Formats: sequence, C-alpha cells, structure tokens
Amino acid sequence: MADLLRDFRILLRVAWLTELEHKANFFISVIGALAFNAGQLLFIGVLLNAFGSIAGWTPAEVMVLFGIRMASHSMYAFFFRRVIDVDLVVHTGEFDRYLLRPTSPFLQLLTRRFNLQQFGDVIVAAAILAVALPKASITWHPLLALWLVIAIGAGGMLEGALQLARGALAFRLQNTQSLTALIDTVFGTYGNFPLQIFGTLGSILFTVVLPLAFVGWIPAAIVTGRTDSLWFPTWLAWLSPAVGVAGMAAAIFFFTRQSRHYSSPGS
Amino acid sequence: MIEVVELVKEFRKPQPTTGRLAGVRQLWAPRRTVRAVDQVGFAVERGEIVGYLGANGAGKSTTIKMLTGIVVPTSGTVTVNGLVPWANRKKHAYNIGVVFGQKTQLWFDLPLRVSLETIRDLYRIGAADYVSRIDEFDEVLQIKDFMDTPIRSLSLGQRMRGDLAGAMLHRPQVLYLDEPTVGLDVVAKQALRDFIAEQNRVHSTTVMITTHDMDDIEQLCRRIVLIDRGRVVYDGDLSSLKRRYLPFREVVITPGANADTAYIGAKHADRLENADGTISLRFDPERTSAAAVIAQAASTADIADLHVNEPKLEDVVRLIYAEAER
Amino acid sequence: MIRLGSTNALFFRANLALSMVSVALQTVLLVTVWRAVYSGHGQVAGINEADAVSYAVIAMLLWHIALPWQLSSIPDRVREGTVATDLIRPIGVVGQSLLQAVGATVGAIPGVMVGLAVAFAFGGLEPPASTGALGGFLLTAALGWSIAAMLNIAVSMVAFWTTDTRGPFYIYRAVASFASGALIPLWFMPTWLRPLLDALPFGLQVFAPLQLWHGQEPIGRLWAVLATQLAWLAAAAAIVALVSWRALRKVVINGG
Repeated sequence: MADLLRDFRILLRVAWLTELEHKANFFISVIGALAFNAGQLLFIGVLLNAFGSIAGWTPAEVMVLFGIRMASHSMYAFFFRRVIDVDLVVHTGEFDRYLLRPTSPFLQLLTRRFNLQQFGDVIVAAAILAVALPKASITWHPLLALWLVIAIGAGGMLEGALQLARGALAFRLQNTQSLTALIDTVFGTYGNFPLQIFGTLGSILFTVVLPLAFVGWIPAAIVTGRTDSLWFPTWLAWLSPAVGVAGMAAAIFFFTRQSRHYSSPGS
Repeated sequence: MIEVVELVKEFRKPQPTTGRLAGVRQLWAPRRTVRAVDQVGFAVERGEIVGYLGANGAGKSTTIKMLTGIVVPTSGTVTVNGLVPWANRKKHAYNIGVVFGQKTQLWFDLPLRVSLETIRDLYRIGAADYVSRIDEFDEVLQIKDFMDTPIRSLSLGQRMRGDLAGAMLHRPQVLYLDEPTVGLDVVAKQALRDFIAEQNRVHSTTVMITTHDMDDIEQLCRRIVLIDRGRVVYDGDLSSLKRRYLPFREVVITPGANADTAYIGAKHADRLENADGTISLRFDPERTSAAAVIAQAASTADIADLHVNEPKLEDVVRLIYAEAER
Repeated sequence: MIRLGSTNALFFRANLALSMVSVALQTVLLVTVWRAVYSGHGQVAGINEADAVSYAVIAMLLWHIALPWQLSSIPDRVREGTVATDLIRPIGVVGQSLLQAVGATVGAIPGVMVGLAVAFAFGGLEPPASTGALGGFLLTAALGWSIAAMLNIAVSMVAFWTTDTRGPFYIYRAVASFASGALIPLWFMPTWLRPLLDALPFGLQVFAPLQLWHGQEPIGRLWAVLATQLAWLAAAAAIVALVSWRALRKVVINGG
C-alpha cells in the first residue's frame, strides 16, 4: 500500500509536468467545465422555476440532491476520470508500457494525464452545496457531516466503477464509447432527480440495476430527512456508501481480469 | 534464463468483407481464429544474444509480447528467470528491459531527464546508482547531449538511445529489442549495437532481438531462432544456418588480359560466366575446398584477381522468405 | 468521406448496438421524467403534458442525429500535422469535415428509429399538427442541422490556435445544448432570458422546428424562420471560410 502511494506520487508528478507543457489550456479548460456544469444547473433551475417542486421534494431539497451529485461527480472526475481513456490506451498500444513497469497498470491509467477540468467540477460542486445546504432544513450532527463526506466519496467511486467496468470491455470489444456517453448522460441528467419520480419500479431499477441512487438520491434523502421517499428501510440507506467502495473493488478486479485479453496492436 | 514451451497464441478476427456496403456488412462478418504463434519452444541461457528472425507477420512481435508479459498466451508456458511474465508481472518487470523500435516507452511531452528520473523512482533505483549508470550509458549513447529535450522533439536516433537508456536503467537481466534499428542512420545503429554488445559483455545481460537489419544479426548474435508462420523453423548458430540455406560458396575469378579461360572450372564446382567478364565458380564446401578450386583455376589460366564470396545472412533470409511466400 | 464517417459510426458493431440501447433507454427515461414532472399540473407555460413529452423525445432525437456533439476530425489532424496536406486537397478540410458529419448522421439513423419506436410504444409521441407542419419541421430541421454542422466546424478550427480543444468545445456544447431547447423546451425559460436565446442561432436548430411540429407559430412564422436560418448558415459559412483562410496562411507560414 505504501508502495502504491509512493508510485501514485511519482506518476502524479509526471502527469502534472505534462499538463504544464500545455498550461495555456488551463483556464479555458476550467471555464469549459464550469460552463458544462452551469448548463446542468440551469436545467434543474429552469425546471424548478417552472414546476415549483419535483416529486414532492422542495426546490431546496432538490438543490441539495443536485449539489451532492455534483460533488460525487467531481470526486470521480478528480481521481478516476481517466478510466474513460481505456479504449484509447488499448487501441494505441500505450497499455504495453503500463504492463512493463513494476507498478499497477490501473494506477498508471488514472495518472496518464492530470485533467485540469476537474477544478471546474470541484468549484461548481462546492458553490452549489454552499448555497443549497443552508437553505434546506437540515438537523446537522458531526456524524451526519462525516457520513455525507464518505457518501460523496463513495458516490464518486461508484461512477468511476461503472466507467471502469465499461472501459474494461475495450480489451475484448473494439468500441464501446457510446456506453461512456450513456453513463455520462444518465448520471448527469437523471441522477439529479429524486428517483421516486420514476415510480417504485424505476427507483428499484436505478438502485439495483443502474445504481444511480447512490450518487445523489440516497445521500440527499438521508441529509434532508426525506427517507420516506426511499423504497427500502432507512438503516440500509445509512450503509449505502459500502456499495460505492465494493463497486470500485469489483470494477478493478474485472478490469484486471479483462486485461488478460489485451492483444497489443502492431505485429 | 528464458524457457519457452509449446507456446501458442490465437487471435479472433472478423472475416474481411469486400464489395458493396462492405462497411455495413462487416458488422455481421463471421469471426475466425488466427494462430499467430504455434507451438513455439526454445531455451535461452544467461548471457546469450539471440536473434529472433522471421518475415512480417510471422509471429515475432507476438512472441516477444508474450515473453515480456504484455500478451497472455492461449496455451503453453514461459518462464523468465523462474517467473511467469504475465502472472508475476511486477517482479518480472524488474528483470526485463524492453525497447520497441516503433513506439517509445518514455513520456512523450517531457524532457528525457524527467522520463529517466521517473523510471529511477518507479524502479526504486538509488541516487548514486542512477548517476553512475547515466555516466556509463553516456559514454556509448551520448545521451547527455539531449537530456533536456522533450522526447517528441528528439530525432529518431536520439529517441532510440534514450529508450535504450530507459530500458537498461534498472539493470535488467534480460533485454528485449523489437526492431530497434529501423529507420536509423549508420552511426546511430552502430552506437546501439556497441551499447548492446557492451551491456552483454560487462553485465552478462541476456538479449533477444528481432530485426530486419542483417548487420545487427551478424555483429551481435551468436544464435538465431527463425520463425515462419508461427512455427520455429530453425534454431542454432549463425554459421550452420548459412550452411543449411546457402550450401555453396563462390570463388570469383578475374582472368588476365589474354588468358585462355576455357579450362577454368574444377570438379564439383559450377561455372558461371558473368557479364563483366569475371567467372564465378560455385562449390559445395563439403565436397571440395576453396583452395582446390583456386589451384585448379590458377594451373589452367592466367589470373589477374580473385576473391571468395562468403555467404551473407541477407541472402539466407531472402531465400527463406521467398520459400515462405510460396 | 461520407462512407468514412458512417463507417466510423457503424463499423464497430458493439458500439452500434449500444447506441441503440442507449437511445431506447433515454427515450424511456425522458417520457417518465416529463410525465412525472407534470403530474398534478394541467398546463405549464401554456403547454400540456402530451406536448411536452413528445417535444422532449423528438428534441433528444434531433440532438442525437443532428448534433453529434463531437468535434470534427480537424483537431486530430492539426495535432498529427496531416492537416497541411488536407488543406491543399481539392475537396478541402471543410468539405471533408462536412461529409464526415453527414456520415455520422447516417450512422445515427438506426438509433433514431429505435427511439421513435420506443416513444410510440409508450404513447409519448404526438403526430405533427398538419402535413404543412411536418413539411415545415423537416425543412427547418434540415437547415438547423446544416447550421449545427457548420458551427461545429467553426469551433473545431480553434485547434489551429490552441492545442487543447476540449475546453472551448465544452463551453460551446453547454451553451448550444441549453440554448437550443434540446434539454428543456424554451417555453419554460424565464421571460427575461428569452431575448438572449432568440438572438442565438441554437434555438433555430431544435426549438423552432419543433414549434412547427406542434403547430405553433414561431416568431415571424415559417418564412421568417427559414430566412433567419439561411442568414445564420451564411454567417457560419463565412466564419468557417474566413477562419480556414487564416488557418491556411498560418499553416503555410509555419511550414516556412
């Protein structure tokens, strides 16, 4: 583990130095990410403006949900965003060198670039939470705050896990990029809604099959005290961060297994 | 050091389609299995330099990729210094250095120095070792001239020297080189060969090299493994390879000004008259000797000049490839 | 070049299957979300549930087919340096990009068919108000597609000046997808935002064609929409021409 952390630091330095080579892009990247997230914010904002509340949740509660979703997305973007590059790395043969070095190929994938847009995501998420949390009526407790932080981290892991599992398909299938876009769209658009909107069946599907519930809905329900909207008992909701952690572990395992099918390009 | 037993790699590829709407019909094309490496087996001792030869698509690179642990074989076993490359990947990485002529293993946008320092850190090479090894490499490779240039701005020759330094920095016991001299100028090629030969001599580094450059082989390799359509067709030393595929040698005679050449031509030698007036005598060294052929010629006619053509590996390989095409 | 674009979209069969599943799933989600959002509301901003659902589905499909939201291949070519040879080819780098866009659209058609079928099965599709409305929709949607394709190329050309095109493209994509009405019908936008949105070309790509579909009169009716679209198309083409002329000079100068 200590070895892995040290390798992470070493690789992060190279990624950062690579990014500095193109530092002119820094601000434009951050602004780009801000604009992209602002688009999602406007989407929710306009909807709340036109319709008042959504599926029984007040605008403040929906904004808390949106803020938590953005925060866990920015955790994903910060640590795991490069998992979407698996196709590229496999098709260009860059993966060769990951396999030749004495450290985890997965770690080398995550650190192949240091994505500056991540800062845009973090800024937006922090701003939304700063505005939304005080507006919602929340009975704060230190443990609740700690739980929220863990849930946000686990949510980021879950989104990363799905994208990583998708990426791992690239070892065997030639192109699955549209699945990346699907996951991005579904998380980015529908993850912002209180999932009871999809009916009981829909919210079960979004918990069990496509685990959207863990990146916003469940944590927001716990924090705002709206656990009445969940289709399962509250005590289970408290345990929900375990899903993100387990999901990431399973995805890394799957990725490692699939990488055995890597057929390096070029003869 | 390297043990390869009954190594097989199969790929599944879609059947190519042609004609109208080929792109669309390709979607339903049936897949077929292609065997890229077929029952390959050999063993390499510590300190050997082995040339791994074959035509394009013969399975050379696929074999190297299995030996290095990049590709997992369909069946068969490989052990390198007692480790299975794809199973003990991390430990195995310390034992091997790899250079691909086609693509760099270094960080493309950053100076060579940063790449080498990163490799130093990843392989946990001590600071003192690092400095002394860079000094040692610089003597032959002259890498210090371009340590602060980003890899993308290096010439191909410089990049290959940088890659070689990166591959040998952790002092691996085995060095794999896949087409290392493609596209290099004569000077750069020579620097690479000198470096490889020296690492082999000083540190007993085991080297496995695939190349189309026959000078690489002639200068470096004592042993050749030849592969054709995924199968090993020859494994042995260079001279027996030449003997097997080029069983004759040649004495070329330039007759004197007014010599009567009618009687030149010994027993067991085929006589060929060349366009430039010289005469080639081909003979089988098993049946007669160069000395006998020359003595016969000298006793029958006035000879201005003569030389003996040694068989070239290039000719051997050309012969084998031509055979493979048929 | 058309073939190249559609091959890219079609060649990988896994990707094709996935994109069809993806469109189907998004259609179901859209229908569900809009119905749920509407529950308890009769009309919002003068629009009833059936119209809103139908709008959302068709807008998403237009978005899918007409605005692939991908940069043209120009940035890749600039990075690899092949653009220099592209620029001197007879068909030109702009023509190639346009043909690639056509190809990508052709490749998106199977997905759109699936989306329409799913929406129909869920009863989420309203027929066009009249034959004339359908004609107006098709005409304006086609012109809207052309504007989008041109603007995509114009934004891609940023690559001639900066190595990273993701940033500018994100901004463009965010503004375009929001202002076009692809995410939310422009009916629901606050009134103070409307003048700004009407001044941009994006509403002409999705919102205006869909207004015609639903039998609404866009500002200044069909002919005004067509005239504005043509004006925007000309403007976008002029920008592309200007930029590629500047870029050509830049590349030539760089090349010595």
